[in-house]
Amino acid sequence: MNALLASARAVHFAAAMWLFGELVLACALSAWRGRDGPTGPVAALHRRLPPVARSSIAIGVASAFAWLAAAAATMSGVPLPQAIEPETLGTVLVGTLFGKVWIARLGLALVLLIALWPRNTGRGGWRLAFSTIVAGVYLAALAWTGHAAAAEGPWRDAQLVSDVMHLITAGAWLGALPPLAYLLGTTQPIEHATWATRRFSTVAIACVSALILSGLGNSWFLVGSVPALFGTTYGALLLAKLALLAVMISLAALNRLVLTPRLAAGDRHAVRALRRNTLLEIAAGLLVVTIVGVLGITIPAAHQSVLWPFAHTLSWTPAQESATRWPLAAAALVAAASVTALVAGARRRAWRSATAGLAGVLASAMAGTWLLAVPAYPTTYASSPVRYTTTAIVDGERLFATHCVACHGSDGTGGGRAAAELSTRPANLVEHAGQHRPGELYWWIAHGRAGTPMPAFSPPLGSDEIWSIVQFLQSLSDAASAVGPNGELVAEPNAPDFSFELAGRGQQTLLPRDESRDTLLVVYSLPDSLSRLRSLASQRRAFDDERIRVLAVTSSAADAEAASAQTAGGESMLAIAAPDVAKVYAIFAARDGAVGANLRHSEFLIRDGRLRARWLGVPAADAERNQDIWEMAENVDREPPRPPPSHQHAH
Amino acid sequence: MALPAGAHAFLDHATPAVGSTVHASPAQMKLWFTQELEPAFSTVQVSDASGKRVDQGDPQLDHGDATLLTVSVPPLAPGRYRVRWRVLSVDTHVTEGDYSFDVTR
Ligand code: HEC
Repeated sequence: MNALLASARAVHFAAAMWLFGELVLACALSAWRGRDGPTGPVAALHRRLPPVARSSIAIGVASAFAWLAAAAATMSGVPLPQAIEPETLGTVLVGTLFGKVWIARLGLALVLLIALWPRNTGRGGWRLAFSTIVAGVYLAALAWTGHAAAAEGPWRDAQLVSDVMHLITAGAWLGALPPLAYLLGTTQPIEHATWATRRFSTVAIACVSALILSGLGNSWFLVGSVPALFGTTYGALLLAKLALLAVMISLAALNRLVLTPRLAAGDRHAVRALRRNTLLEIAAGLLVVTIVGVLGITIPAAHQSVLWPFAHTLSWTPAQESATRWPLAAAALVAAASVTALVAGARRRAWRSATAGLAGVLASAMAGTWLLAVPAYPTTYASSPVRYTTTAIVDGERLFATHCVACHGSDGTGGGRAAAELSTRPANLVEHAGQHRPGELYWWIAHGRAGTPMPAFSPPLGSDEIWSIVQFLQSLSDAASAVGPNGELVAEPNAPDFSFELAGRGQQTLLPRDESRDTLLVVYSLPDSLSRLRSLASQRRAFDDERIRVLAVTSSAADAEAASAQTAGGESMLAIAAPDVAKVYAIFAARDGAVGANLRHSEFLIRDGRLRARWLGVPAADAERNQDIWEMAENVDREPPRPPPSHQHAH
Repeated sequence: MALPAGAHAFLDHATPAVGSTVHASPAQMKLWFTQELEPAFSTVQVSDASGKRVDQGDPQLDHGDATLLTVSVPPLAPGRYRVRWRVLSVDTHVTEGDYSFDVTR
């Protein structure tokens, strides 16, 4: 089904681009003819339009039907013969955005067919201009059938604009290649061919620039990072597309810079060479469109887990060591000097100095790469499919206690029972977890570290179990680095998510996307916290007014029961939640970087998925603590809202 | 945890949450996705431990939020339930997955 879908898309894109490009070239030549041009090429293109329109629309409509059938089959999940029964097709056409766009575009195809019917053409500029605009809309509307249409939030419009620009400029350039090849094959005398080629290349240069710009925009949205470019199917397809584009641009540059001047000088062979290059460009263009057909049904790299294909990657970490810092600075100096030499040399046409500059640039780039290269693994840039939740962290903690404490110690700092006898000291994971990517930690736990006592754990541990350990290590390292020397929060650690219930109400989670209030999370234990809980319950109006949601959790089921019996009005804040929640948040209540300190009472202010402030212990004066909390919340609310931390979210 | 099955709207979060335990029977399953969904081909089904379907068969998109899919359920007896979803995002791609949750007293 995917093959049918991809090929129908590719053929359809190609047909729509061809028609638009053909019209754009006809428009451009007619517009310029007024001042300096011959009529021959313009008339030739006009004669060509009706048959071209008929075939490209026929191909376009046929492939649109194939696309519709294949889309109906994938959408409904039933085999093709059933999918094309009226009921399913009807639902697709009326009930989905794809269907509505499909119908509208079929209407546009009809309009184009009529506007370009033989008897209707050759009637001056208006009809041509009208058809060109309609064909542009027909092409641009394809953006609403792709990934851009499904983008979220404020970026959706930007993504659609970028995609529309990409389609239009690609169409104007690639679609104009067939008529150019035709003109080069038929036009006499040679000056007329020269004229047409020049005009085409003016349009093409403008288009290619806009094409590259919008292409960068699209890639930013859909790929998002360099590792994703190299480490996903989508990225690999995109690289192939870029390579073909480079070939096409080189051919175009050759045509413009070498062959067109020869043509202008009256060289007959140049016509043939130009025509051959144009046909080659068309072939490369068709390959590009084939890739586009596949890209449209491939998960965008930004949403896919990255599998890094190389044994090394570049990282700033080595630059923090003095042994590499100085050579690196030297390489940067050489690079700067070389670039200056290169630019100055090229300007003065002093080719020897320019060549030396170029060599310097290459050499310093190589040296820099070598200095900054660090080993990499397939999972280096992978993101965790296990979310950062209290459940995952507690699972990780349990596995860590079973498999790792003997060497790494119960606090993860490396001082386990067996550590003394090992040839290599076990790593301090609290520190290291902050210095390495989650994907690297994952790889080392799964596959061990060769030449050291660190064993491989896959098997016995499964992938999700290892990711849970990584999330646990992340929480240790976050907690340790978030607390300053005086016990204040110096960072904004991510808040692990959890689900809870309030008496008589449905289950909720800490981090719903639509929560605009701040949360005050109170981790309590009885009897210490009772007075504070009662005071918070009596102050709930005031907290509501400050747009703060108060939630109280405990690690003891008995305490939870006692608290709800003894706190009047506590139903709106006493959460029914797994004991994991209080246990995990206690990690963030350490006083001075000591990990795992389990305090009896602590309060956290949480905003946009991050811990923004904390208060340890039961307050001596409630009113003062509340004032403090409200002030803090007001400060935090003045900041622009931020998206929740990204690593909460790996698909 | 559901992994991407080859297309593009992924489960963001749900209530009852993936793998969680609830004490009160929920009236509705709520599933939030990472992209807007097409109501036409987006479904969610809930079944009990014996595999018997228990939801009311009324999956629908939230009026204000096209990323939120809901389905109602009758009062659920204590036990484990499995939620199976299959959704179509507006860029025409289908994803599916499932998770379970527990109801206790
Ligand atoms: C037999 C002892 C031993 C056990 C058991 C063990 N480790 Fe290690 N681990 C080590 C040693 C030794 C190193 C240091 C290796 C090195 O220096 O390259 C290490 C290194 C690591 C590293 C790499 C840190 C870095 O930055 O280089 C990670 C991550 C790690 N261990 C995690 C774990 C986890 C998680 C477990 C339990 C599932 C575990 N280890 C169990 C001995 C052990």
